[in-house]
Amino acid sequence: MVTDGVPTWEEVARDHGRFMYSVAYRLAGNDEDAQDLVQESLLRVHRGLERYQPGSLEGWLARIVTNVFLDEVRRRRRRPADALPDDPERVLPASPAADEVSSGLSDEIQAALAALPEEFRVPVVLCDVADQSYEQIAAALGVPVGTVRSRLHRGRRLLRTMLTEGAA
Amino acid sequence: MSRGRRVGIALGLVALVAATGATGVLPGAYADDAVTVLDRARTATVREDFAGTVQIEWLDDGGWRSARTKVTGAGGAVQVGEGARQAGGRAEDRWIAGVTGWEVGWDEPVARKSPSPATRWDLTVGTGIPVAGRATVMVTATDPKTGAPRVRAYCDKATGVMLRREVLDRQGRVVRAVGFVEVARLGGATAVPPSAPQVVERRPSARGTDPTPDTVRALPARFAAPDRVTGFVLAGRYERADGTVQLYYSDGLFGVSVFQQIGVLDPGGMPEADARVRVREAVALGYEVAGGSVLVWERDGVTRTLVSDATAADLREFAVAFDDRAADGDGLVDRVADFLFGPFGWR
Amino acid sequence: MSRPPIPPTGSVDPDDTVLSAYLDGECTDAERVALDARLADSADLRAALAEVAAARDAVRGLPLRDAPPGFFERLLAEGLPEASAAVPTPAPVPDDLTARRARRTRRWTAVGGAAAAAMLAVVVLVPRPASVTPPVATFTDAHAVRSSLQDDVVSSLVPLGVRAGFRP
Repeated sequence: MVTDGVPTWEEVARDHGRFMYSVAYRLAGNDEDAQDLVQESLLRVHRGLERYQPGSLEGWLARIVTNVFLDEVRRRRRRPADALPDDPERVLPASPAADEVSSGLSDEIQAALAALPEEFRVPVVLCDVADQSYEQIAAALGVPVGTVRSRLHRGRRLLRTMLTEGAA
Repeated sequence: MSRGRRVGIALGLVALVAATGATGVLPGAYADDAVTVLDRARTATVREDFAGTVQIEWLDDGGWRSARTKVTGAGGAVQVGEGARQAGGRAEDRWIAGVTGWEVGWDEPVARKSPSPATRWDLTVGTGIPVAGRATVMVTATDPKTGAPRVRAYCDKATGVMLRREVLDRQGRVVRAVGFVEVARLGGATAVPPSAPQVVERRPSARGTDPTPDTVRALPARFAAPDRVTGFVLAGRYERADGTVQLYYSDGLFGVSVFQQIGVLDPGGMPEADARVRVREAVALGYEVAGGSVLVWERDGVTRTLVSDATAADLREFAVAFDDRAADGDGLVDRVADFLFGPFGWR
Repeated sequence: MSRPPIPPTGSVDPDDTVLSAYLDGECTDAERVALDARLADSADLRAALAEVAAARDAVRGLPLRDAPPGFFERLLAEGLPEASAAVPTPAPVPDDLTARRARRTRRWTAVGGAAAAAMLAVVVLVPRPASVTPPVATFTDAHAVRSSLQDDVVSSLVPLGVRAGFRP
């Protein structure tokens, strides 16, 4: 149920929590940070800090999760001790959930994705996980569409290279 | 050699092949090449020896599920499973492990061939991600109406064996996958042939696997069997030992079995459903299991069970169209009269 | 709009961002026409496109990620940490999936009630045939056997080698 076109945070959590978590996990690379991202994102939904305009609800939610993620990246850059982990051991869950499919293929792709610099990872996740258009990604990141196109392509090239060689 | 290095070398080989023009992605093009790759995959498991572990993954309402089992191929025979869960095949024979021994799963030629997948789907060939450490060629089947990929098949570059098959939903998300997580001997040393049974029983077992069903030429009254349903073509109709009629439909990529039984559905005896979905006026029980998506519903005293490796949404679309065709098969008055007075005869 | 110059055959820049835009349906008509022409001529370019497509498909093929069990349940039961004082705590909900299931059950209970009433009317007037309980596990096995005759043998037969997955 959506009131006046604006969903409550509970409705968002119930109906779109899995989508938000997937985006958060692919951005952050681990469950701990993904939970923080989703919680903070729901808080922003609750506070109305991010204006919802009826349309693509998942696009709006992906944008919120991304903004929270980028804010966190900037915050941790100011505090290097908290830097996001580069250790591949950290970006993979220590033990998969009981019923989670743990295919080697998915793990390798996730590890490569997590190892991408965030300037490339964010457009890749928004495009290929959240299914956002270049225009939506550009709006979310506050950059021109051409920049999105360039970063997305470079991100995919890097990803390909890492899957080919970097796992060694 | 590290796993990553092996992956790197495998991907490098694929890229080399792609660069020589043997593969490449051209949306909407090279359908013939894709069909060739898929055809080659179908026969490769007969030509090649291999032994490995296959993982099947599927998404149900509670999340991802997965299971693994052993697979062996040698001497033209393939066998999957261990212990009480085993099945195998050679040419057009299939055998299944029963309680007391091997039983026939199928032993007759298939009369009608499935349509080409290129009839309904846009097929492209590209470079695949390595699977079980082996370089692959990837065939992608795309819905021409939406542009969404619906199946990705990763075939071994060297031998053609299909190493992984992914089914995607209409939003392009993987919802079902089956693939090798490890494979040995492929393209190399001879594997030990699987224990193909010499003696099999033609009888139902406690496990419920019927002997091979007989091809039905005349359908029992009140059973429907339209030739085409939502892009699927009827490729076989069979009567099982208990009188159930099985129809098999194919669109070249997915298969749908329709099991029809006379009788009112008793939901109390059914497993807990993953979903309840509407099929026209009826409410169907939906399941997502290792064997595929399942829908069960009843109309006018005929209970129908659909099983398919297609997605739940596609299966529901099929069910609605099938139910609609079944209802249109006879006039309402005829159907009521048949229902009240008609013998369950043959027409 | 003038047509971009077509680079000579064999001249492949893997960093050409048009490759990603082409795959995403985000390039201009002129770019698409030009690239189609170049692809038809250049195996190198086809290979470069294939590499980008493989990376793109790899990420798109990643499954949705579920939050650890209890994550959304706790949020919905306890409220958001900084928002709980501002809003009434919602009634505890098992989890988003269970909640969806429960809503569906209510919905279908209503539908089922109407259907049951209609069925009752029919039963009074017309004798019904015997009830049946389809052996769905057997049917899935039979489907796998039939599929294996015309599709890939291994992937078709694998369900016969594992537990069916039906809940008791």
